[in-house]
Amino acid sequence: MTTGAVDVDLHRMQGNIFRSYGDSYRAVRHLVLRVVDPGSARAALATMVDGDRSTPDITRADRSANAAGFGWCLNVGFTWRGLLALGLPATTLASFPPEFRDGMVARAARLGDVGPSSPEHWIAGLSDAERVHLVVTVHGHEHADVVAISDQVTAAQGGRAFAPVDPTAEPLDGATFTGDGPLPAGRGRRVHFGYRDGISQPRFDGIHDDASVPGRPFTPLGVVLLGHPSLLPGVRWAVPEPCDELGRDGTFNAFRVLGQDVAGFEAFIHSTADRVGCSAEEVAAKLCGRWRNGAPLTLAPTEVEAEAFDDCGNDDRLNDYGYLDTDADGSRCPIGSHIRRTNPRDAHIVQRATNDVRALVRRGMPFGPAYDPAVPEAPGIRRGLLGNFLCASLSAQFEAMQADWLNLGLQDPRITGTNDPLVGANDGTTSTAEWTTAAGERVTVAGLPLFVHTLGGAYCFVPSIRGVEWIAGGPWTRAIS
Amino acid sequence: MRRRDGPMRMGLELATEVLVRLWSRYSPPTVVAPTSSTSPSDNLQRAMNLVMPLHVPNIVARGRLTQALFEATDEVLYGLNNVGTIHFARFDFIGGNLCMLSIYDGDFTSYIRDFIASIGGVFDALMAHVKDPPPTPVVLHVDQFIEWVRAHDAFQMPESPTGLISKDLGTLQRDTLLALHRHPNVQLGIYRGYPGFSVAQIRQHLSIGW
Repeated sequence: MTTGAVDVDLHRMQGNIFRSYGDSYRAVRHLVLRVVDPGSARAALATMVDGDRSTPDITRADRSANAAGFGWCLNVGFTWRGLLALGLPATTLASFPPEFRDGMVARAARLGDVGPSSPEHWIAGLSDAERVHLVVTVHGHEHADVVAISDQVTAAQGGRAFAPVDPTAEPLDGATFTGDGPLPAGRGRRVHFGYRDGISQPRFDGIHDDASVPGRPFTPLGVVLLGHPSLLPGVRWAVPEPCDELGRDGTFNAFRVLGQDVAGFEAFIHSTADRVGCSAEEVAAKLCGRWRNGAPLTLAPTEVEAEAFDDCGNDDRLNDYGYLDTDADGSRCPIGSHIRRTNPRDAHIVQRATNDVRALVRRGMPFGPAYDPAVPEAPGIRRGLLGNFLCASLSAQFEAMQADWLNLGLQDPRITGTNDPLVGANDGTTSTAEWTTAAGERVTVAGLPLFVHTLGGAYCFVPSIRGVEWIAGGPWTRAIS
Repeated sequence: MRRRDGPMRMGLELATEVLVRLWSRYSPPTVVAPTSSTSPSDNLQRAMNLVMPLHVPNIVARGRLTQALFEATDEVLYGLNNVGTIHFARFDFIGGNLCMLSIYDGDFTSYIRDFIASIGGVFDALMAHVKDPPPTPVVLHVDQFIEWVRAHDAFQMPESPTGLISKDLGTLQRDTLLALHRHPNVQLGIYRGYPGFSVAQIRQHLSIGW
């Protein structure tokens, strides 16, 4: 199917890019694999795009997540090392952008993956960047679905195609949860810190409903798809070659396993609330920019006003705002808060032309048990987020966001030199955050701890279906067979 | 004694040259552009010393370039201001090179990308006079242009002495010599009168808009 308004064939694209599976599936497993035998791996990939459902197929973007008979969805991303292991031609390998060729481990300092987040501390399976070749993501209605499909993937071609990078590593399993019990339909998902998740995602012209949403203008396809105009005037990102067969309509994914210190977060918001003289919920809201029910501080500066968003099922209401006219000084939503750093909307920023340029499509699910302060925990329990950050340029979008906005605050002189209070590379001895309380008092909080640390990750290329076909059996394979 | 010192020194220098050439065959290339630091203040007021060898470094070619830059003055000034993270930037002729020397805030590739978006057309015109230029128009070859700039940025010695000491103190001289061997243009150091402040913070403090 080709959409009416845009030049993209959804049937030839991988799913989970424009629409989130997380709204329909409760479970996910990310398989971190290496190529065992290149020929067998290419043969296995060919079966994933042949339409024969006796083996797991890559899910296409035009398939409804709720289509009858589908208990699961599957997508594939390749690292540069993986494309090398599959035997792709040197000219193709050289046509990928430098940051992708380098890989996430080599870019750690730029991403703020230092100290506890540095690759030397990453979990088994992802710390060995040379052997991480592909990440296969399986979503399912139930955990048993993802296990069954995952087993079929690793058993493909008699087990000669792919193998776990580290067979002893814990599976990267995630699951949707809604905090305090099941969330009513249409009222969103939660992350471990208790915030409603997935609220502000790019809406693509010709893909999503065209109802006017003032706070959410349409985003060009080039923000996430290769081969389409970007938001920087005149700029087009390089498309891996051959463009038509491999690169076009592909995307890049920064796959991240992010550990979250929920106990530390809860302790911080309560102790800070005691010091400042406000509620813990207000501290949580000032760090994020939204109340934990999703209500934006700019629209709901007080806890009472936020309650009006409790029943908000349509996230358009949660996004119908800007900062320039109503909150330019950040007295409601702090300039250094998480959502304002990552999406400055219409606010005046230092890098004049980049307000929307660094947009990312975010797809993630929590992993680990939900935190319950009433239940003592054994040491070593891990929880956090299995995140996919999709974009057309890892360097211009994901890395620029991490380096200049999350971990430097370069976009506004009032926060330069500080890190994102929720996900930044904070140091409990030196990091600070500032905001204006609902009562109008200016507060500076010193000793902001590290709440989120990186447990692993990989830069992946997510090709179109045509791209997978080319990798599996394009004309180039005849030269090596 | 002096007569014996001369040959000995020459022999030592010759041996060093040979040794460094051997080392360079087995040592990985040194980084050219500044890399990110864990300290936010280290990521402000960074230097770019872009050295672009002229294809024909004669006076006529330099005259044409001078004229091209003068004609684009408004576009360049508007564009650089629009980038928002530049403290100072200037174009100089040094020897047979056109140089763009600037002090900027933040990530190197973001800086280059933002000024391509702002004054990419000016660089297209400049590239016509430069030896071994990257493909143009630069807005359609962003990654290649960034890599070209990285390769033509004068090597900058790490500001922390430990930056060149990868394993132990004994490697300092070796890495310094390797860097000097690889890079003809080297920035040896930089002084900041007001370290740790972005251009936007200074402009805000002076109430001149940011």
